Amino acid sequence: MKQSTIKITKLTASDGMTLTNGEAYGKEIFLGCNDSPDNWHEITDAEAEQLQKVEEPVE
Amino acid sequence: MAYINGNEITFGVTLIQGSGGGGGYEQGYSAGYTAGKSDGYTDGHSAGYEQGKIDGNVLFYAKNFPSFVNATFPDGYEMTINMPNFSPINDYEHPRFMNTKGIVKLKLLSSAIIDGLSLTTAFSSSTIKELDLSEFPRNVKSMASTFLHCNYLQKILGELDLTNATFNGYEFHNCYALEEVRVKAGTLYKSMAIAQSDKLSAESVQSIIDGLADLTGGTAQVLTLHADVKAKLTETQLATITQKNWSVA
Repeated sequence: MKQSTIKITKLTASDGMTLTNGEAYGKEIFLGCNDSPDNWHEITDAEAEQLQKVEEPVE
Repeated sequence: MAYINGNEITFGVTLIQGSGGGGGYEQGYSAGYTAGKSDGYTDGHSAGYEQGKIDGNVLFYAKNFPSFVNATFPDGYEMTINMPNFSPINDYEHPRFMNTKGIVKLKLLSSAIIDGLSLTTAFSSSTIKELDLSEFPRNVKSMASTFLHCNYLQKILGELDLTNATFNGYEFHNCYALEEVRVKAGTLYKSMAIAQSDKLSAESVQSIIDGLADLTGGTAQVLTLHADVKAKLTETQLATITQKNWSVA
């Protein structure tokens, strides 16, 4: 039998805020084992929406 | 509009209407007629039409990529395209169905072995519901906006090999109806977002998880899921994802 304990770090954005690492966005982030809270910061929901606006492709 | 590039084309389809000057069918028909005007046209048109009726709207292209950008098909249209000599020489040469309307089922066929398939904007804003790539090269090198605004897309058949794929964050943007997608195990190395797809089947979610490459010791990448999908992840799935050094947004 093998027993292991895994720790998962979860970041939760404050009300009205969204977490981002500059590329991905979310209200809750479960960190990968080598990811760090330092890589993520909060921005306002409005900013997040603006930054995630789609650049429509042109054929 | 359809690019013919001087190759003899046989059509089984009966109607294609392109947007903008002329219409795809008229231009394609005209160019095909002129290019093949000889016994070749007669034989090809006859054989292709008959074969198309049998196979169900199968278009044959000698080498180059079919483009139906901004084309309008009759509602509910189903199409199969066979590209036996598919050999893209740049990232622009790939099947193009950006903003193609009316079509609901698309199957691409090719036994060609290629270095990597660029699918940049390939199907964006189309009405495709089911895309069958199971008999088409699936070693994708660009997923930039591939399925952007594919609001009706439900199924992608064929396991995607994403070993060399790059993403721009819009690869599955607004794929509200997506249920079925499969990723080849251990081939996803770069952050991917599938954040508007709340109808993903359990098998699809597990396939994506299995698709994540083990990035332990390196730079974490991010898998962005719909909040509902994320909420349904089991502890085991979450542990698997994070232990491979993937963050979940």
